[in-house]
Amino acid sequence: MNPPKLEDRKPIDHYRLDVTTLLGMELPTECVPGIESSAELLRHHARKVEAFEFASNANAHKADKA
Amino acid sequence: MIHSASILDIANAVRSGTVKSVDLANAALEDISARNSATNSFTRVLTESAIEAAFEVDRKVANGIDPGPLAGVPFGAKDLYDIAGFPTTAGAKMRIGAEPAKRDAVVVTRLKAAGAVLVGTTNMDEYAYGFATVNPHFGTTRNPHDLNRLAGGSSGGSAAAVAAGLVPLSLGSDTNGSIRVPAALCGIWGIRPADGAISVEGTFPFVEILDTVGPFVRSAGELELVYELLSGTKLAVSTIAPRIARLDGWYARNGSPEVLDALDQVMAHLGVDDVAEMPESETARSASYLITAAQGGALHLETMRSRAMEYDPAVRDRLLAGAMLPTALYLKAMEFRSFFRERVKTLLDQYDILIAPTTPVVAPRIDQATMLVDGTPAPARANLGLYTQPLSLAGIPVASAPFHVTSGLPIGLQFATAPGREAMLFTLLRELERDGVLKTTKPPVRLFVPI
Repeated sequence: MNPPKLEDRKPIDHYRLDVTTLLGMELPTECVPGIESSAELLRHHARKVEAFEFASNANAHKADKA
Repeated sequence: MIHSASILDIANAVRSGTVKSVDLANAALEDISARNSATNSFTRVLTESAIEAAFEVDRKVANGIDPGPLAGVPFGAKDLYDIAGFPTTAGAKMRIGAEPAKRDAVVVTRLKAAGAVLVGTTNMDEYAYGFATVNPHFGTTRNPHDLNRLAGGSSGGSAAAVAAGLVPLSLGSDTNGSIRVPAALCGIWGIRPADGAISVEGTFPFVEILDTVGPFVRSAGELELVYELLSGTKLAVSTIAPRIARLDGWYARNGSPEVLDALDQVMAHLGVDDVAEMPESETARSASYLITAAQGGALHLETMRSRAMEYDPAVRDRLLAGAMLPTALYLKAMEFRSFFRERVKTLLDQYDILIAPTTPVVAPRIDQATMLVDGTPAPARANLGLYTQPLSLAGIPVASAPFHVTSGLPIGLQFATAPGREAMLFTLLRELERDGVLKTTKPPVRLFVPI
């Protein structure tokens, strides 16, 4: 499957783990699974936040108040 | 006396000269020395300064000076509070040699000014990033109700110390539930104040916009008294009948039968059947997760660049993953936070008190890796904050109170209100305690035997 075009990408598509660049040093390979596992949990939550639509919920809020 | 006496009883006995503060301090220090190994609540015992402070309280009493409403009350403070003359360790081995704090944290100063005596610092998850108080450097804090179970976190040492009767009062911090979760699992009382209601000055930060500090105690009246002292406010008894609702939706999902039954019983006692939905609580929890990881990661990035391998590996993993989160996601989470707070404000226009479980389950076993969330196995420790994290994002005051259990492990319930309505909250908690619906859960007697 082709990756989405850059302009179609959502922020979560840009979530890449590059620890070496971030820290300016390499961590031992045994550290990698733990970081990936933490990142996967963040992806799970990121997708929920990303899917949230302010406009439709704001309208629902107005309806609630009314 | 310290095992069971209330803070007020202790202070009155000291103020009247019936009991010497120095005797109380010595008793607390001896008790910690004898019994701390069972729960691993304390990381540091401050013998010399505690005895000195206790003598000062006794001197005031002898000279006819009132030492304050907490005269001689021994207390512990989570390892992230500045204590003058000691490094603020924040549960991190790498900070053992840090420069000592020049002065006490603001709330430590306030308790000391009220006559309380600091006897030690308490265990926590490294840098407060966890719900378990499983710390590779300082050990795991065990639940006084069952030593094979978690005390909760990240303020687990403070909660276990109070639940085990080592001290009647301790200080914790609550970013995503770190006071409420351990209070619930250990069967005691704790409160996360409204944003900004109690000063966090002099505490090691975690997530600036979510960090709060507060107390652990063994009764509703004590919770109110200490809250007043820490916040510098005097609350009147509320005479207004509060509009109460049970939180449904997200807060009814994934709760174990025993936890949901406890909530049913409280609502039945109150004679209230109003059910309220706090919209988008699931997204609020996710937003809180992202903000925590991103801000925590940013805070620690420079240190991780030179000392990454000195961190608790589990904490390092979370911080690194958070530091790499795309900025756009963080900003959307922050935008959602503003939206959610408005929604909660609207809900609190309709209701004064919202009630929900504190944790979905009772204290998990220390070796329990997973629990079921929406029918799927998920990390047990991370999901202890299922119901506390959305309320943290809302920035409102939330107490965790112990449901009166006659057998089994403690169950905690959250009572949330709007900022400014704390008097109403405390009045309701005292009434429910008086009626026997809420009550501190005492650990098994055998745990009081010196080990």
